[in-house]
Amino acid sequence: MISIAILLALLLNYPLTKLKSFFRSVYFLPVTFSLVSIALTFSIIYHLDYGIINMILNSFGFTKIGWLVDPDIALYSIILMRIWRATGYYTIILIAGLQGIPQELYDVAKVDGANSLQRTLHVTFPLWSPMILVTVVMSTIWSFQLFAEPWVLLRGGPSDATLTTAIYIYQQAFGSMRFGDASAAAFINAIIIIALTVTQIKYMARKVR
Amino acid sequence: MKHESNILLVISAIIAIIISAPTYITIVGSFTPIGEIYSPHITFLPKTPTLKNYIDLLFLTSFPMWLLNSIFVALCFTVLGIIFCSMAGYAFSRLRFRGRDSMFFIMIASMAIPEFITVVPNFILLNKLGWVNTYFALIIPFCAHPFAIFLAKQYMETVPPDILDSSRIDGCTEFQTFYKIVLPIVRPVIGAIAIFLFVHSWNAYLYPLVLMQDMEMFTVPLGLAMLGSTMEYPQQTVDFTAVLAGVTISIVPIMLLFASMQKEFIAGLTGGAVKGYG
Repeated sequence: MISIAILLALLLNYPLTKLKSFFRSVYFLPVTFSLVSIALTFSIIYHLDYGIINMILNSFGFTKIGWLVDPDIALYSIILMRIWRATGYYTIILIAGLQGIPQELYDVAKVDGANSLQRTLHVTFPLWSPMILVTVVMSTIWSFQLFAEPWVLLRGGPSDATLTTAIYIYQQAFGSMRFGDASAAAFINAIIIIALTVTQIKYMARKVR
Repeated sequence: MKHESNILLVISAIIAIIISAPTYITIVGSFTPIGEIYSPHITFLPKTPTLKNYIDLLFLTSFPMWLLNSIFVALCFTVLGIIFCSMAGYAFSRLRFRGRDSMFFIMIASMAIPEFITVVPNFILLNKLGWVNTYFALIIPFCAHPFAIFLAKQYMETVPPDILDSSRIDGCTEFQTFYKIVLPIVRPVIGAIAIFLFVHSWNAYLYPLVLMQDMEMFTVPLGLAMLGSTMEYPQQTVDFTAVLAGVTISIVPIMLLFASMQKEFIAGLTGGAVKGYG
């Protein structure tokens, strides 16, 4: 997801791309929708017989994909949905990071004879990496929050393929009224998230320097 | 050069089409009879456009009530949130008191903890208060949102302290200083905070799901999710296209708001994060 966002941000910050602000808003728009609306929308897109993706696949002669019924695929369908929604968000953040890089550095690199790929690799990325770190940490934390989409679409099924910790906690607490189990799961999850975030920051911080 | 920029334009346009396709499908689907959706042809425009889905939604379900609930909750949430968050932001940025920085740190750290981690204790607390199934439960506990406070603080730090000092010397109380000097200066960020809070409340799902148990108290996302999975709630059955009509009604205000206040929107949803870590 972040790698797509990086490419999009580069694309939208490239001086030759036209209509930049228009595309920026179009890419950002899904971020403003509620997860429930998105889940409901995708339930029709992923429909086995009448969903648009399967109909397109079918017309090219491919077999239908059980986006929401096949336990091996359901999780990827959820991930795809998430990418669709969140990529624009990270793109905007990354563009903000790009715009913070002073133009003079590019001019200097140009004078020194660096071509545009070299300028991207050796000027943009080192200065951009703190912002990339931010997006990676944010998306990690948010991926743990995955609740509404798998819950609304699939209730964690088929056969627990899309059971996330959030759904587990919800089911334990409000489905079977086992608040203790739910709290224990939540606590363990919180520790994992904190540990992951800290490691990520430390690891990336070393790379940034 | 011209050639290159055309290629980039085409690439951006293709991505834009992919990104907006689901939205388009929803909006078009809401005007399409259910039979056309479940037919083996791809429909780009409905052959027989209809308002039946909207009529069903408004008269056969409790959607109007959910809409009113959502509007009421989101507006209260936003107004109270602006008051609390701007005051807290002012205190954190321009007042000096013991433990200020560590309090701020704890608040920021709490943002890293996903909401479902704290859903159980929050539920127990609100249940003891007797607030489950009331509007209070959705508005009061969450309207002082750390992210909004963070945005406010960040922006208020750009207000020069000299202005505040001079107003104090002129005899303003602390509240007057805040209300008459600081607030007008930070008006742009208030817009961003308002939008953040409104969207946050409008789109919230997990907490309303846990806290609202009567169907009359549902918010729009809750109600739509319920209609979308009618096998569990057979009382209110409508075609799926009517659910799409509901989705359209719930995303159109946000789209219009986004179109008219794009800058505040993007600042509200990303600005703080960008400045905060970077």
